[in-house]
Amino acid sequence: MTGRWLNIRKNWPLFVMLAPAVAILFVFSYIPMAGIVIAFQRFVPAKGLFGPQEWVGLKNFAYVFSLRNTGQVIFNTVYISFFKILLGILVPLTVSLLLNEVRRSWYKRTVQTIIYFPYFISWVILSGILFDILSPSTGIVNSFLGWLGIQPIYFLGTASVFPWTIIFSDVWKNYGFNTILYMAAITQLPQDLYESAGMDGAGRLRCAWSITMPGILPIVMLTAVLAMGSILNAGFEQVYNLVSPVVYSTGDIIDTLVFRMSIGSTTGGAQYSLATAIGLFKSGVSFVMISTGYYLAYRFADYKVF
Amino acid sequence: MKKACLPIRLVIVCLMAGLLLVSCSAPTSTPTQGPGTTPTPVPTAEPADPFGKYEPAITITSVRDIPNPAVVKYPEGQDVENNVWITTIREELGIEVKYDWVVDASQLSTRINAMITSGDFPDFFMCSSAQFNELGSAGLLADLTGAYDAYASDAFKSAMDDAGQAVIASATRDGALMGLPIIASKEFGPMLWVRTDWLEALDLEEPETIEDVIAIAKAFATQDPDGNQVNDTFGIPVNGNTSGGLMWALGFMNSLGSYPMIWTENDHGDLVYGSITENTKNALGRLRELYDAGAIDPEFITKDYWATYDPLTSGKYGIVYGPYYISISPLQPIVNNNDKAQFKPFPLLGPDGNAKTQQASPTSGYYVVRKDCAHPEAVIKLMNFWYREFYFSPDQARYEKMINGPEFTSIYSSTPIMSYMPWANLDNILEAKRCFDGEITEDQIPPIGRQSYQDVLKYKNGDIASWMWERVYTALTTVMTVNRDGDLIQPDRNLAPPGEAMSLKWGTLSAMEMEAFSRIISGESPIEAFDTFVTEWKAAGGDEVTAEINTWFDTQQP
Amino acid sequence: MKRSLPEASFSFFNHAFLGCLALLSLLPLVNILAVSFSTGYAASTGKVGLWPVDFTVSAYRFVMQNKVFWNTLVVALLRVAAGVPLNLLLVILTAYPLSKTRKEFRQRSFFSWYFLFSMLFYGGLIPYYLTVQAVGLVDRFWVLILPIAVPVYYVIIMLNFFRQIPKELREAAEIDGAGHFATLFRIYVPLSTAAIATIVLLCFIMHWNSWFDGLLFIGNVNRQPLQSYLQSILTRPFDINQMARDPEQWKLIQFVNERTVKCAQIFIATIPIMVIYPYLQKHFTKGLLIGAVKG
Repeated sequence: MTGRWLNIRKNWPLFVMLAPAVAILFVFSYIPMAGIVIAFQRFVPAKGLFGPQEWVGLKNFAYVFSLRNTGQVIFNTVYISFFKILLGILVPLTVSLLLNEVRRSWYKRTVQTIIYFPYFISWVILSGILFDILSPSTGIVNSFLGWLGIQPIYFLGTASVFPWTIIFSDVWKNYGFNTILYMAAITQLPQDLYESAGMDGAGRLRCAWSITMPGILPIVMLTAVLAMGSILNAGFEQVYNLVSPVVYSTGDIIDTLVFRMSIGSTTGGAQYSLATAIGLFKSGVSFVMISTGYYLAYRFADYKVF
Repeated sequence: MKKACLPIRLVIVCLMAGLLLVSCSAPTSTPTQGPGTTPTPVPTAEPADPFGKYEPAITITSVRDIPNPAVVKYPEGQDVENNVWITTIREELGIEVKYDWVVDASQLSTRINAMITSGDFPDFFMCSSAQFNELGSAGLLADLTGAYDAYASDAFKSAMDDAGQAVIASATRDGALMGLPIIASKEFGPMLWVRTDWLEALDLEEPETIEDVIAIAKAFATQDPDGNQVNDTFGIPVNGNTSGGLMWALGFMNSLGSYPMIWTENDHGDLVYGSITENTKNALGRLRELYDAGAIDPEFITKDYWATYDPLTSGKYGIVYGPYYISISPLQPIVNNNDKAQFKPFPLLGPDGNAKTQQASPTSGYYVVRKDCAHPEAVIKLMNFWYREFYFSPDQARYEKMINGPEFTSIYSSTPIMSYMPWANLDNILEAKRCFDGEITEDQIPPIGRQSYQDVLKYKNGDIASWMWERVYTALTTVMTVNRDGDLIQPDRNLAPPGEAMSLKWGTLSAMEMEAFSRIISGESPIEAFDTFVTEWKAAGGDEVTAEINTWFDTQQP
Repeated sequence: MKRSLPEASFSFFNHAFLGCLALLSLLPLVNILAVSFSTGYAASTGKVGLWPVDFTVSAYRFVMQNKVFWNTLVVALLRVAAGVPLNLLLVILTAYPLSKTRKEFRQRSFFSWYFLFSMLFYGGLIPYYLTVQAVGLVDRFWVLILPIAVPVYYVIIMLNFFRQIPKELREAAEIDGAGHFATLFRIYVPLSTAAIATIVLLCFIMHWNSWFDGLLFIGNVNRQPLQSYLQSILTRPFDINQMARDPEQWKLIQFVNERTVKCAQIFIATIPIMVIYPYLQKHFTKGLLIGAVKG
């Protein structure tokens, strides 16, 4: 008892530091979570949030899983987001290691700045550009492929190609973001490690492998664990703007499915119940995935990512 | 400075969080169930004057969306809550319209749902069919029967009558009028537009049947009608990537007796969904034929309604199915860039004679009045005022003040209430036509028709930018009159509030439909896949929805 | 120092490869810029590549023509000025205790899961709206700041950066008898410039790009942030129904279309980030020199 008391007396500033953030999240995140009850109701707004709503138990969940293509949709979602996560870590990692080898500071900075730009373009705009450049008849990409002697590919209108178009365009758009994080982590590494390694005659490849890599591993693991939480988020904004009915078989994801469901109730209350139910399901899966990642990182790398 | 404020803010936030928890746990007063059947007492002491002024003035609250800030600019010092409509209503009717809140149009539905959930309503507001039904079932709405009968002006009543019994019935519960339907125009169905300079270039006759149209579409796609020596033209625009249906192809399908996305009555008096009929199968087959002939963009499957605008405005299409106003957008730019270009509007041409054109929904929502509103008749008066000002503006000065003058911005973003008359645009244009025919002088045209008259004159005097208004005039006077006189409008007969199956399953069913349609047109699936689609559609909830809607439909029969 | 041949060729290919990557990212932006300076007609015929066709600034005039643009720009700047420092303060304050080991701070696990949980579970739009309404923030400036004052993702990133600070330095502070606040602000913060610059950039982008909260919570267009205004003209660019027959307006409309306006919008919205980014980037490349900061 006294031990704990001492701990708190010594650590009171830590509680003070946490207090504002804890309070803000309590108000804006935890209080609205009461709304999760909607997932178990047939929600009718006119009856009020805590009014005499009809309780339906797990019916909303059951309905979604009873749809004939839900299995396919979940597969599409996991497929797309798995490769997005994988490439979304490997590509920035490679690029930041390569950037770190660039000695010319201006070149390094310029490249780093430029590859970050696409991150700012919203998918609404980008989808328009993609439709243009990926068009089989007029798009520049297919002109280039034609020059190489390859038949035009309908990147956005062929079911077998569509998921990879989604994956690559997403990685292209976002790899600048993680590159920034990894570069910041590399920068934070103590320089004297490199200096002493250089004196020992270690080459650049060896330095990258045995100093830089382990040095930024925590940040890489962190981004990986957090990304695992988004295994059921294949990127609504992107897919919604690029998908078309012909590629539903491989390109339809959970979020677009839920979005379309809301069309039926034409701004009535039913959409909220379904959307909340799916949201809860997704949150649950995220939670499990992140916890697993957290545990694995702790078990095998002895590192707590958060 | 900002940082210094922070702790205080946080204390406030935490305190409020506590309050919120208390208020959440407190029992919320729940509205009584069942439709409100007590009719609102109508003041009988005074005679009911549709435009009677309140002395002293009363206040009526509402909520609304705000106009697009890039497009609508109010005169200095005015805004959505304070403008010429609001002040004139206050001065002439003694009604002070106040908004509890206003919000961007994209968020209106969320805010209204949140407002309904919180139970804190204004006196009147606009809502969707689903919201109307839920509010009515929860007994939160005022019965407007008495107020409507006593106060509605003749113009308002005639608009309701023109809209039809089905529309009025959809706003009625147990014989009581529980909301004011927002009446849609009957003029927005697709018509056929053909590029006549291309017809001349290829030495073709104007079409008389759908077969002619199909032949012309194929010729436009293959014979280089724009003479640029490049095979870059198409016949008919079709959009495959959309949740809203094959918008650009609707007119084509209508011509073949197919009415996709809407519900029509069959010989047995039941409602059937147009997308699963034999005619639709046939129409899809013909679209497939056009696709194979190169008359449809091979990339239509990834193009949505708006993406189709680009090739349209750049003059790649010679046949367009669209409403009377497509001359304004997307066709006007074609003429700007090529003054030889000309589009001529036709009624929909069927296999023999004209075909009916489809109307999406005869109503686009409802104005509802809160149950304990002290003056439900004030909302009727607002609607009277709207109809009088918008359609029967007495003179030019009034017209310029309220509708369209140098100082005026936008009616829709100023008036607190609005609705349509089903044939108003046509009626107004016909007044302009009477002047061209020499029956009346320009001064005798009512102000709203006079504008059209002047625009047509401008075009005739060589102003190419007024082409679009001249085409609107032509489309209405030549095609719309045929549609009205020949009863060539096919309205959506389903005005039911979304039921259980509809709410849950419609999104999925629509997706199946769009997938099947694009696959069939683009040749990914054979035409026989249509039958598979219909079977699957029915099994996946289509039958349930059909039953639901027919149950409702039976209750609507007199 | 003379470089070996394989090393030199690696260096060459490395530069070339990264250059290609940069080009791949740059070209679409150049295209966007070119489209934004072209006429709507040219854009819709697909003639615009990397250079404007029929040069015009109509799209920019369309976006900037009214006072709303400038008013919302001011709101956006105020929002960043108030929001980013608050974000940074809360991120640093929160990350520090969480970066401690369980031995140093027994309750850290509870708190880290508390934060993570808030990031994963969401009550839905309507309950969220009603909460914000109950707090009294609807139609207030602070609605843009407080609900996103604690970006949990960045807190987690920051705490990982804090853990990279060499143990000796942390312990040295403790031996000196410095309290937690002193340790945080005298040791941790100065040693984390790159991390802090990163967090500032990310928070800046978060605030700058947020548009949904402005549209949902603020009814007066003049009090919305710039991105909300841009978003609302993006989703309803040519609302012909709402347009009066103002000849000026119609003239402008003839030269722009949805696409040129969108592109102009993207470009305008990206300018501030382009301005701030190189400035922050200076800090990314500053290495951490252990010897220099000691003592």
